[in-house]
Amino acid sequence: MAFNPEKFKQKLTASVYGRTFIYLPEVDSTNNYLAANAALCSQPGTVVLTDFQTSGRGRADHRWVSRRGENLLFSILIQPAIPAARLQLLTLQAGLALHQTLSEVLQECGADAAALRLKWPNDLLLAGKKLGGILTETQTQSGLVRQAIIGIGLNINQSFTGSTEKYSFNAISLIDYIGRAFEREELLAHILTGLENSALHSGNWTQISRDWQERAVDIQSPWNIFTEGRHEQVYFHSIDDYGYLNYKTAAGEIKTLINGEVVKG
Amino acid sequence: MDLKEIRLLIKLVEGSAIHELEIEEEGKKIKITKNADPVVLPAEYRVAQHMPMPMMSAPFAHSMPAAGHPVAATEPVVAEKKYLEVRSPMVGTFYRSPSPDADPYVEVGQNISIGQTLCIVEAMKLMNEIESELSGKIAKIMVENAQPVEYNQILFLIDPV
Repeated sequence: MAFNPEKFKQKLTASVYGRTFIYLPEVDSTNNYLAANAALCSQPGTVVLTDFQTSGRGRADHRWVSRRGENLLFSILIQPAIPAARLQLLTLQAGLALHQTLSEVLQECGADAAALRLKWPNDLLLAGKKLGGILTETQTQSGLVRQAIIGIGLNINQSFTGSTEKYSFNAISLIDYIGRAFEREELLAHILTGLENSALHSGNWTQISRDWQERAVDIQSPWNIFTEGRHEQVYFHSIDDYGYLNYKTAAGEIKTLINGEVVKG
Repeated sequence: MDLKEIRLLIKLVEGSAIHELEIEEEGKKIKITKNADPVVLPAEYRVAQHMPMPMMSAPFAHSMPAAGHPVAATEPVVAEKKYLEVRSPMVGTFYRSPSPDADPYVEVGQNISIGQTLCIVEAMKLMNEIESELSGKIAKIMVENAQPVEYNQILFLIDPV
């Protein structure tokens, strides 16, 4: 069913996020749309939502395949007053906000909210499978963030149970877990309130790192990382105040992960 | 213009090559001037500022200077005095084009204007476009495509035309 912007506006309680709302039945990617239509999308808190992305992106070409009108695919434009050095924290903070709101949803449904976990750096897992992801794109000038676009994809009403498609093997949706469909308009309003209330403020960097670790999936077991074509088994060490992951190598050395794939176990 | 905007403007001036900024809006005027007296640093300090920074390790991340106070960002480069620098605001990987098969954002000798995208610095798939804070001509590109960059590392030298 197509998203209903009127119904969404009635449900919206956030004061800034979603007050400018653009609904597109179909678009290449909501992140691209926000970036390319600066004149239309200059208000902080502008949300672009689509029912179908023709080239939605995930990390490292892990394509986001989402059936038309069943999930939540949207991007938010924000202008956080933070130094560019701390940009990574935007993704972590958005993950925390989504985790909070969706935990509440699961609890209201009488489901086990502890099954909802964060996976480094930008995925949400439910019962060990991918429920959603975040893709942040930013523009900085003079070391300050001019704007940030936070793209979010969440599997809501698209069931992956019994699907034989390759991508669905490791995917899960709310309908799979709870056993009933959700009204996307109401859910989005709820999510935007959560994101707005947890917007990044200077000074709470350490708290973000701590909160994130508490909600992360299976953080103490070995992590397989791939950097520059090399595979290495390492252990989680910490998330620093800039949002970068520090890991411990087999030799006991502490290193910072800048770019690379993280596969657990 | 509210306090937040003024603060951002101060930071902008602080981190840029601009010495004075004056804005008039709805009858109100704001003028931000940087300390006109140049701070004279000992020669060895100046040199140290432009040495390559050590490879990033965990302790380095914690010793990063607070952003908004870029280290010597307005000090001219010792060896290439007339050029202004564009530095990396974050740790990541430097890319000259939006995708592997696309043209570079800028080339040496190209004229650039304020706000123009110069490059991408990526960390954990967070794509950050770095926009120019000044206008001029690209004199030198200091980093090879797809190479790691440290916080505050010089990326471009700009000839202010």
